[in-house]
Amino acid sequence: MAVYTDSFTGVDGTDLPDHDANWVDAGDARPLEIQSNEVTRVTPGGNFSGVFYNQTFNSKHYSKLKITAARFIGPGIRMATGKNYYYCNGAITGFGSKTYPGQYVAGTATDWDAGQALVGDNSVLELRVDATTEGTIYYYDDGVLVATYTGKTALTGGRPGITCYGVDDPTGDDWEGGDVGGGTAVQDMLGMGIIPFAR
Amino acid sequence: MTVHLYVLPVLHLVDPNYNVPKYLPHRFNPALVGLENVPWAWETYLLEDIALLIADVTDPQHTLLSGQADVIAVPPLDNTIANATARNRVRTVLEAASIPAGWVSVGMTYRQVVRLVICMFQFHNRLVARLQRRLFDGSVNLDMTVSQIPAGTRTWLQDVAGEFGLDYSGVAGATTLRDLLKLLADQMSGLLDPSIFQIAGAGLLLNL
Repeated sequence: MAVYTDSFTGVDGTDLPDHDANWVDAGDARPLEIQSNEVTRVTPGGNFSGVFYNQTFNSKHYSKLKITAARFIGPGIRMATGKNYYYCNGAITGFGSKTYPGQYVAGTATDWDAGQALVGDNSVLELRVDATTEGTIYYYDDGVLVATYTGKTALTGGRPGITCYGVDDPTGDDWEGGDVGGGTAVQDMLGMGIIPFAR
Repeated sequence: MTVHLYVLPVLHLVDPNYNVPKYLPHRFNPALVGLENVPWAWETYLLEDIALLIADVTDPQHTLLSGQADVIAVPPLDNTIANATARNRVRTVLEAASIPAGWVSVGMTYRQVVRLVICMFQFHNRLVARLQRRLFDGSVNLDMTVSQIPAGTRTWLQDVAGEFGLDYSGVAGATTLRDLLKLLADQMSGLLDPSIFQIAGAGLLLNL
């Protein structure tokens, strides 16, 4: 069971796929990049961006991202090319400082509800597929279960990654993605950025 | 405040491309005056024009929302469809949204209706995700037979049925899309995890 991490340590302006070739654009052609050892959007303004980590994952997987500034950025799951994924984009400032889980299918976004409770600087947002029921998706904030969404079966399979709707200057850090039940990620001690971990 | 279930139109915003509920607050679309800050959650007929939505509203807000001409407040779920007039209204609303509804009959509970509609949503929404476009885009309608449906869509119909573990053997070239959706929805109601019969979010939950 794989767990992958990225702390986005790199040169400012490096697109994520150049930082690590495992990062793949989900289809919006607005790749994310590294700035100040964090991840942010390349193109300013209201644009969708999404990248997934192109390794083998179980259909039941999770994704976590610490959000560090502005709006909207967060973890994505069930991500695939063609602009398809479930997102959980948080807004530290503006728009009620809420988090908005939802689905992005064929390049059109649909929030699943009116938004979830306040998030703050350095909140770790997580989307997770239930261990037994494919259509049940959990949203956690700092490890605390905030919401359970059922019947989310439009997408299946896919990979974990990062999603963004770049209204301002959304930044995130310390991404982690893996299989549900896949154990704890191990930070790469050799400075390579990302390593798989199996137990 | 009370949680009510509504059938309500979906607006399709462009730039950003967002599906949002008409009248309810969304960060990219203002609410109807009087409905600001109303919490809601929903299931959409993906990329189409209709959704099942729950909202926690005051009595005046419920009156305001249900009074909109294109919004239906679903009666208490265990109420039965009392007569042909009520039945026909349900049929008209669903059919106008390309949801087959000839099976809706007097004496059924609204819960029975909504649960089958949710199953149709589940199948339809996976199909739309596979097609990567709206299903009812002009190339397909409910009265087409399977053999009349464009080949690419036809293939996905069978493939998606397979993904859900549904028995497609009852579908033939002469089967209409409306009959196909009903046939598969009937199977799904028994096969899928019961948790699909919930609408949840924003701190709200309605068991269907």
